[in-house]
Amino acid sequence: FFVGFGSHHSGIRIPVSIMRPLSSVVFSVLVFVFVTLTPCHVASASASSSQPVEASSGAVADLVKYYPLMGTVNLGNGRIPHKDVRVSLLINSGERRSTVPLKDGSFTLLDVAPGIHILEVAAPGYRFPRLRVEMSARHAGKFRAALVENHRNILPLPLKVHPMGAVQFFEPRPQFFSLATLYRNPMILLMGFSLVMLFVMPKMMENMDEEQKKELQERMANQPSLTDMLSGRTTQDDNDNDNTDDNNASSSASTSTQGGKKKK
Amino acid sequence: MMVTTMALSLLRLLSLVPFLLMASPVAFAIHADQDGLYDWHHAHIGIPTQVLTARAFGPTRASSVIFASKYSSASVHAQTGEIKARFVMDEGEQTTNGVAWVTTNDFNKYAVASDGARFVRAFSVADGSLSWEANTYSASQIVNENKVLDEEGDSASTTQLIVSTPGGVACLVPATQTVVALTADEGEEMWRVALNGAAKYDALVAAPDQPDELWAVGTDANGKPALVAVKAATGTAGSVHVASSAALKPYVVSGGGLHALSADGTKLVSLNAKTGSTKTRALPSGGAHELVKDGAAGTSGLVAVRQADGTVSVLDASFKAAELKVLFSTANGAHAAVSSEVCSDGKGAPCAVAVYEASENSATVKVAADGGKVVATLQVGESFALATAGAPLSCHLAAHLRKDGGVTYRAVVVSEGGEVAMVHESGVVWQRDESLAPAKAIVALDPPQRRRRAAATAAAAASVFSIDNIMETMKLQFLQTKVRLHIATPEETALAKAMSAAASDRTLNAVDLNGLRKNLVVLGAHGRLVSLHSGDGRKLWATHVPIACASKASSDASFDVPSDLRVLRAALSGDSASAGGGAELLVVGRTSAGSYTCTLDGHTGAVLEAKTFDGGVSHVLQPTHVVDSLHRHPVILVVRKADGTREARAVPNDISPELKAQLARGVHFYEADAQRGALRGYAVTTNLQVSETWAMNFPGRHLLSLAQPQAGEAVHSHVKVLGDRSVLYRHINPNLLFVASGVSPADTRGRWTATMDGGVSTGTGSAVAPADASSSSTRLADRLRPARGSMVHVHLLDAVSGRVLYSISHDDAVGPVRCVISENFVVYMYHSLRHSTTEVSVLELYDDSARLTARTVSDVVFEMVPTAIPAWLARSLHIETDVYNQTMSAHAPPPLRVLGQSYFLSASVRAMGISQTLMGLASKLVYFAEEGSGQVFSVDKRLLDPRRPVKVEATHREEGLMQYSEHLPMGFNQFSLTHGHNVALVSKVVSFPSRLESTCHVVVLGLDMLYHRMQPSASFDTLNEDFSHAFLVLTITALAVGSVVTGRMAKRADLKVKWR
Repeated sequence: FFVGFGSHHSGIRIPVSIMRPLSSVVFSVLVFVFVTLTPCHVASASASSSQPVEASSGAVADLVKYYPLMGTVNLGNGRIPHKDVRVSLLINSGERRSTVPLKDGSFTLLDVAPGIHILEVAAPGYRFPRLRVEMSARHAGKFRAALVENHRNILPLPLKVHPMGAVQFFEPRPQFFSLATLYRNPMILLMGFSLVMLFVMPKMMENMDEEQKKELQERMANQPSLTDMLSGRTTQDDNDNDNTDDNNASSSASTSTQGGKKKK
Repeated sequence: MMVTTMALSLLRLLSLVPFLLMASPVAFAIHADQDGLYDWHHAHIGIPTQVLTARAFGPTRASSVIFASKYSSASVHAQTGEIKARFVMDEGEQTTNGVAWVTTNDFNKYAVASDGARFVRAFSVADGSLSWEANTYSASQIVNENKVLDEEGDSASTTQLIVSTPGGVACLVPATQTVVALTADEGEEMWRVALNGAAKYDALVAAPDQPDELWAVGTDANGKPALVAVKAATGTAGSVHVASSAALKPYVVSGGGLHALSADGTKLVSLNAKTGSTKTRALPSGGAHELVKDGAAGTSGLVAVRQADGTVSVLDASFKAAELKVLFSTANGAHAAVSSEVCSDGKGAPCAVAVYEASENSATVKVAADGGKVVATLQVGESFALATAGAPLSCHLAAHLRKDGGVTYRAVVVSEGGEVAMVHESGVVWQRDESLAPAKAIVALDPPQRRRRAAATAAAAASVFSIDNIMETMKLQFLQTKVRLHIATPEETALAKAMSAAASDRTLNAVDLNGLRKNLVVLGAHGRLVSLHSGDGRKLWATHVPIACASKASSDASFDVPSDLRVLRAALSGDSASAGGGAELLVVGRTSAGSYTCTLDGHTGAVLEAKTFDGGVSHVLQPTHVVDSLHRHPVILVVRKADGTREARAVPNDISPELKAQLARGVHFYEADAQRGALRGYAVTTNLQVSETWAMNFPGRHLLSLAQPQAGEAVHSHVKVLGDRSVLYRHINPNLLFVASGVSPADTRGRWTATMDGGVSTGTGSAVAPADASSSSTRLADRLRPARGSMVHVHLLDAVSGRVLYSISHDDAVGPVRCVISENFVVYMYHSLRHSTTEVSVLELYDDSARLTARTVSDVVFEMVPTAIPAWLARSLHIETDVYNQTMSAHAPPPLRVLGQSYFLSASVRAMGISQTLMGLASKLVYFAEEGSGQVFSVDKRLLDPRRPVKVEATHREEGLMQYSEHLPMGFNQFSLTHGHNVALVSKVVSFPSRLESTCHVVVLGLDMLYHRMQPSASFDTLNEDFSHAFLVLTITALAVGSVVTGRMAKRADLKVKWR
């Protein structure tokens, strides 16, 4: 159940211009994962056991009593050091009380007033869900717990709090010269393709018929050059190509002469 | 037409710049191997109020020393001084009522009592884990009986309520006046005894001469000391003994009874615990005295008294002697603290008392034994001198029997300034600085100018490796390249990290062009000032503001004197710095009699000038951008006199013309009474007269939070260009005042003042008035939680005129409210009762006046570059060129358009902060310090944009707006500033700009302190510190060689083809 969320990182340095849309995608994925994973990670077992703190002689019998709140933190088989875990309770949106779980992960928050509380568990490197705990004054400190985000889904008792996942504080270093890095990068893919074509194209040309080759060469020659493009002749040439065969023939002749020169 | 096209293209270019800078929200995360490169973290305990050492003769040595402060308890490694484990108390519980070993002869567990001994927690010394936790009484008793516990001051936290017994621990519960004993293994209740009688007991001590007896000490209704003995094994209480005459606190238990000073401080009143008889003896030296708390207390019946001039004497006050005899006296005028007496268990070594004595330049611990003879002198060193560390606060002696039969002494000393040290006979073993826990104020200064020779020697001293050596540099580059290529072994990686740290100039204490090195001057408790280097967090200098120190010695005033720290003059560059124009700091604080100001040199901590005056300083005002001819930023102090009138003082004393000009316009401040819900605005005008300008009342509500923008914040642009090419004009108001009001818990036990119907009563008096018996139980139950319908009202005011600019109310919400203001936006958070979670709201203010909205885009562009257009051209084109210098009147504010949005946040937040960069161009980060985990997370301001649309369209995308989602992502990957470090009890997140736009300094203050150098929008103007130059050279060389070789090959191939 220890889910690391580091997998979204592709391990490449992405140009700034495409970083923004990508980041928002990463973000929504992150939020989605957070929302979807939250409910299924708080599991539990059976019934509650809580005993009221003995009230001293001075208090009137039918007044408010305070009760302990018990539960267990899943420490992941000792992966989370118990002394670094802090369990804190926001009591009736006012007072805050904290404790540390024992070695087995169990904790007891003593002397808690009845009401609606929020239970927070913090451990370095891990993220725990926030729970809404309702403690009843009428039923002698019986309580029910649910996720803050989802009140309706009551968690079984005794209360067991599981981590939602490990937190990754650091960005993983991109792997240097990893094949995976190379073939994921669109620029590298483009470069690779053109490099392949550089070698493959001449081979393809060789296997062509003489006539086909000639035709191709003619077509290549007709293609407007960069200077033509800039001077705005492109459209005119294109029109010419489309409309008249005479021009075509003359240009092909010129290319063939050029080709002839080259062959020498 | 042409102009407009040009303008549009220019505008596009300009609007592109921030977009280029906007990297993804995770772009500023650092790599694992960069941890510790740009950040450091200091963990603190707080100034110890109680210290536990294994105080026994014999072979058992505790491996730990236990410290307890107001804020936390911790076990500290006895040899190194490192914190092994720490438990930090919550806000409502922040009174440690003592620590004690669990069982008298065992040093494996210690118990800490807190909140008036309501909770007792036992921790294991070995691993710091919790063994058990006990609750001695239920707070429901106090709630039901409608008791309001008297809020005791800091002196309450120093009273000992817990002692070890042979079977476990026993503690006195002042709220119920009972003594409860708990078992060692499980913390279960062994016995409980109610202390009846007229006296009010407030301390529990182990009887010095009877190992199985506990004494509860208190005062009766007439101010006479009272004492009752309780058997540790059974809990049977003996008869109450009351002294025959009234006496002053503190009481000291020593020998066979209790000792206190008579009301005039000239006689010692001793109450015999066995017989109940009282003995009054005159002190040998004349004049008023003061009893040293716990001083010399032990079986021999010694007490320590302090004379008016500070001289401390140890007296023999045993009941046998008819007159008091001086055994030991400190030197005249030296301040001293005395430890309790340490005795052997009948092994023949004499009982000893340690006296920690501090003079102007040094400090020593003298161990006196056998009738006042000094048997050992432990040197504490210069760092504990009076001027640096303050007067001695406490001293704790431990003695050990050596194998050869001799005795070794060790002592833990604590100074008022918060310096803590473990001292052996060979010298100081370790030293901790707890003065900055918690820090009160912080300023950042540029380090001093680099003097070439000094810098060279400093660099040589700082670096382990002589990096001047070219071979070393080569080796480092080679190693770094290997690390980069992932072919280095772990040892090589570690070596590379160490070498680059040594070679790095970030630890150098000299000013740098990029402003990446800073001196962080922090004001701690008791007027202690510490300068830290931003590179590695080392202490550059520490000092004790002398007036604060002097006042403290004479009276045992409260620990937290309100004080402030300001930069009077930043470090100057060039010759002016050497000509006496260095950095100057101003410390302002209160003494018991009045107030003090103290100017110090920012680079050495030397005191330049110190002054005292009557009345308490209530406000320290420093008008932004007012600089006098000596480059000083003058400060105005608002002083409240004893008769309630206010007056203003200027520092420096002579009012410069610049300040005079500012005063003519008025310097404004406000005063808030949070409990009564009252707010008043004042102005300081010419001749430093203070007059009230406006008042505002929030009847029946508390003020939950007040905030103002950070002075002198850089704002990049006053316009915001939207995706559809329309422009919004930011309303930037340095006098904006955020006020949140609503209900808050009335006391630390979380009792609310709100009544059932949602209406709010005005004060605790009427709310807590007992109702009739039938309805009292429901009323009580309801008082435990805030009433439904509680609201948080937010007002944005103008602090100059008191005018309300905007108001909004949040239903079903309660405090605490945290807020941060920057540029034209306000981000604040509160607790939503309806959703049981934290809500974050953002408000953005835009100027909606017709004058601005009528302008075209081209107007805006030309106004952004006013210097680009000659004046004659601007005139002929009818362009306003000085928009930046246009000010608006607070008395005639423009119509505002306020955009707002709210988000859920799945965390409780203690403090908020915002990143500050040089030009305000890099994206803003909002820092949230989480309550439980002590982590600080950064959330990009763009996630808090009120314009985040539900449906994202092309124009939104162009603007970089993200789709609205009701939850703010926080707490997950790489948003953490703290990287797993825990900053307990965060009070402030402060940010300072560097001289690079990309980089800012962030300091998190709390019980701990964390520094982090951040890049909110990744590094766009600088290379990474771990950038491998060798690798770059290697790549270029390879490319060059490759091109030459392939060129040759191509030539050859070409020739071959031609020959064919």
